[in-house]
Amino acid sequence: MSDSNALRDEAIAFFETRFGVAGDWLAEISFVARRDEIWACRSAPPSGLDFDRPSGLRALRRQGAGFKPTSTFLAVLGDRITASRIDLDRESLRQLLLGQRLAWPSDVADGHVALCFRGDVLGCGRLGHGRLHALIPTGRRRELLAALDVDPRT
Amino acid sequence: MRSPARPPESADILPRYRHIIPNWDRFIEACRRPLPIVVRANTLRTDPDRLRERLVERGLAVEPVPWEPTLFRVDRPVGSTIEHWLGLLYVQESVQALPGIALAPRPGQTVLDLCASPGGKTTDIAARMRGIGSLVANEPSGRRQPALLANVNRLGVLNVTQTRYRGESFPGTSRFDRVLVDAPCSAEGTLRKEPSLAAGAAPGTIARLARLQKRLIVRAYDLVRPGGVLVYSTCTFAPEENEAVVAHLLAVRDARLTPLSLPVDTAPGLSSWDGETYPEEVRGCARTYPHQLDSGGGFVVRFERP
Repeated sequence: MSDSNALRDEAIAFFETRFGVAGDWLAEISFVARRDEIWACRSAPPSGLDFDRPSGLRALRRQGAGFKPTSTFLAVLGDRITASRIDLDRESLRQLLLGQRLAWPSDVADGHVALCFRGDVLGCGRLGHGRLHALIPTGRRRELLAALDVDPRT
Repeated sequence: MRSPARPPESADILPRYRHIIPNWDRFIEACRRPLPIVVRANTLRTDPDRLRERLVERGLAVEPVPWEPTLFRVDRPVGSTIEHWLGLLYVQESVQALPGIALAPRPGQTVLDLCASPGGKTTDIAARMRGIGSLVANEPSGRRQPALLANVNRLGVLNVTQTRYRGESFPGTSRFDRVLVDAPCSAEGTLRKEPSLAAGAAPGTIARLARLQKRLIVRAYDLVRPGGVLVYSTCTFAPEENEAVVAHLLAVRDARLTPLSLPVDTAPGLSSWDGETYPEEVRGCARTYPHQLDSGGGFVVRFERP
């Protein structure tokens, strides 16, 4: 595992430029690389302990020359995300959770986006060539579909 | 949906504690009532008032728990709501907030939750630390680790490191500002959820757990730095797993039991049980019963390391 300044700067730059997250909040986060993953944490663990996973939450995965953010970390960022947000209505969200790719004309540049519903950031999606799909993990999608089905609000 | 289990018959409920539980009739009555559904607002993600508004908007009746601003009673299960999915809340019994209140961790401290899964106390502690500082969540059981991981992820906790040591052999010494041992126990205090526990745990089970608990509490104490705090808690009424474990620590270590200031009615620790007498300071432990909080039952004690 490594926690170089270059890695930290790279991760901060990604969330600043793609998602409009304020750099001062991100500056309080440590980013630690493990294989092709980058983890975000707010503290170093005490020394001398063995652990299978880095501290904190998985935030990014390297994908070619760029990054893919995790749904978990985008949800943590929540309202701090001010760019690349896609607001969904209930039916569009349902279709995305069922694995469909939707035609989605948008001013947002192609790339990863924060999928939002009623103002809440739900997780990661991807916009490309006018089409949108969800990248929320399968198990979490199933749970969210079930929650959506019993939600009385329109 | 599973139909609610029938409440146990009054005469079948934990008869061996009849002479130690105050207001026995009220205790029995509470044990036979359904357990209220309580949620804790995850203050790492939301404000308690905002969560309350959201739950009301979706048609739930929501009532604050008067002694803890993050807790609310709701009139329906919420495990399948979007608010739960988003990690804005954690479903728990209100009594389960007491260990975190007793531990009183502060932002920036180094804290260990020695028996962490499924993560209710871990995420409560993280919120009390405002996500700042180092929190180690230890869980040796591979079967129980996924629940801990799922809850840490869902509630969005950024300051947790998960470890997998057997609690009684957790490495190091004198390194933590705060240590919580929410010990594996016979869980008699959860009988409102699990009526099969109303008969009480088998003596062999209690004896086996007590041996483990004594090893856990001593190891945990040795992990606390001088001036730091250890909290030991269970969700059982069995004195063998509570006062006897505390007495064991007091016998083998120079631990200082500090009286608790909890925001609820509790009963003091027992001074004797089954022919065994405990040191006077054991009275400073807190026993909680279902009729006091309209919740489950439990036991909590706080020590400082000189």
